[in-house]
Amino acid sequence: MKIAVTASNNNGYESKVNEHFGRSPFFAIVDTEKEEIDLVKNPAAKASGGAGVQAAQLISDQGVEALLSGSVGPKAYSALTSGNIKMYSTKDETVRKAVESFENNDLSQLTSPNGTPRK
Amino acid sequence: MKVTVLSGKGGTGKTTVAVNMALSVPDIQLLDADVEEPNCQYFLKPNFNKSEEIYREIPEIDQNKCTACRKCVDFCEYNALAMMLDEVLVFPEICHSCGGCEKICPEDAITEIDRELGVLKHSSTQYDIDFWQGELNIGEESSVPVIEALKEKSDLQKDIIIDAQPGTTCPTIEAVVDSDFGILVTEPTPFGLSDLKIASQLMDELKIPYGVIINRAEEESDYIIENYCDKNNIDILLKIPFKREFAYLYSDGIPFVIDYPEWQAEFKKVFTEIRGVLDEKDYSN
Ligand code: SF4
Ligand code: SF4
Repeated sequence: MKIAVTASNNNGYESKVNEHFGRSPFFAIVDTEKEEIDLVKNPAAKASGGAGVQAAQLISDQGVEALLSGSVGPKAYSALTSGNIKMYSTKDETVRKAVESFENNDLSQLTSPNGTPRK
Repeated sequence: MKVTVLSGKGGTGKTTVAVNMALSVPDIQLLDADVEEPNCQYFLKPNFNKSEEIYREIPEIDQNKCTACRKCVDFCEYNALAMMLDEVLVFPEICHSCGGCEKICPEDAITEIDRELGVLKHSSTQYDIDFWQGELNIGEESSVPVIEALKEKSDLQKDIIIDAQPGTTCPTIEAVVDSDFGILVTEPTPFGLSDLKIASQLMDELKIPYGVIINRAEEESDYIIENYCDKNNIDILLKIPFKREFAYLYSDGIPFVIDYPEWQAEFKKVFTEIRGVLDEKDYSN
């Protein structure tokens, strides 16, 4: 299964989890079976508007089934829901820990947006 | 004559000035162009008797015709479209109504539909004011078309006061851009000064003459604004003192000129002065 984790920097599994989704500088795309990780830059990080939607498009195009993030704003939430991508809120510090928590079923699934959009 | 009241940030007394001034000059039209937070109504208690919806066009996708080619999604600069599981999603709040996606779709799958952006409301208030208010619907981001439509209600036979959105971004500029004069409202604090500087820069760039009203004026701190205005040759039109009574009236939604009619003369004088400045300018041109 492929999952995406918001990342503040580009440092493999040790990257820091980014609190916000839309403007997260990177996404760690983790294939949990193959144990492969790939960090992709988020072009929406500096977008003037619609960052959440653009970021949702990016991770959907990567074929991920779940997203781990501190928070997800309303528009991104609705885009990801339409894309059948499940969202989980995490407070873990690193991508490695967040993925571990996810695999141990320690993360709670988001059933509504928990982030505020930034213009 | 069209006069716009503006301020670098909210909460400085812009609405107080606009409302009290409108109540002091006969046969006036007041346009509340602070469409995200139209506050004049709390002081004028209008009975709105007319309203007009403002629409803009957003795309609608015919999923039967759409082949998921993705051209529209890639085209939209504003990220208002997304392709999820071969279906195009539209995010109306982000859409800037540029119409581009409709033109670019090779399958004719996109049509434009109306979406309500905001509303204009009219009332002749209990006071003798011809009052129009613009309102932007919640969740919408572009105020400018509502302000444009509001300004079309200008009755050029009358003197017009416009209450602009605080700040110096597009909605404020749209409100003031074709005014004859700008009144910048500020407070005698360091924050007030820094906001005033930004607002006066804007007016200089727009080449619109302007003056300053100091709200919550206090003798021991007015110099903060006065020094700046002196140095830059900006007229201080009026000082509204910091008074507990004014604050009480404000919180009760009563314009202070109603209880202190002597202030009507003060506002009227400011208005006459502005007219004088403009006449002089015309003369020298
Ligand atoms: S451009 Fe037209 S056909 Fe292509 S994805 Fe968009 S709506 Fe569908
Ligand atoms: S009308 Fe313009 S802004 Fe709106 S969705 Fe189409 S391309 Fe994007």
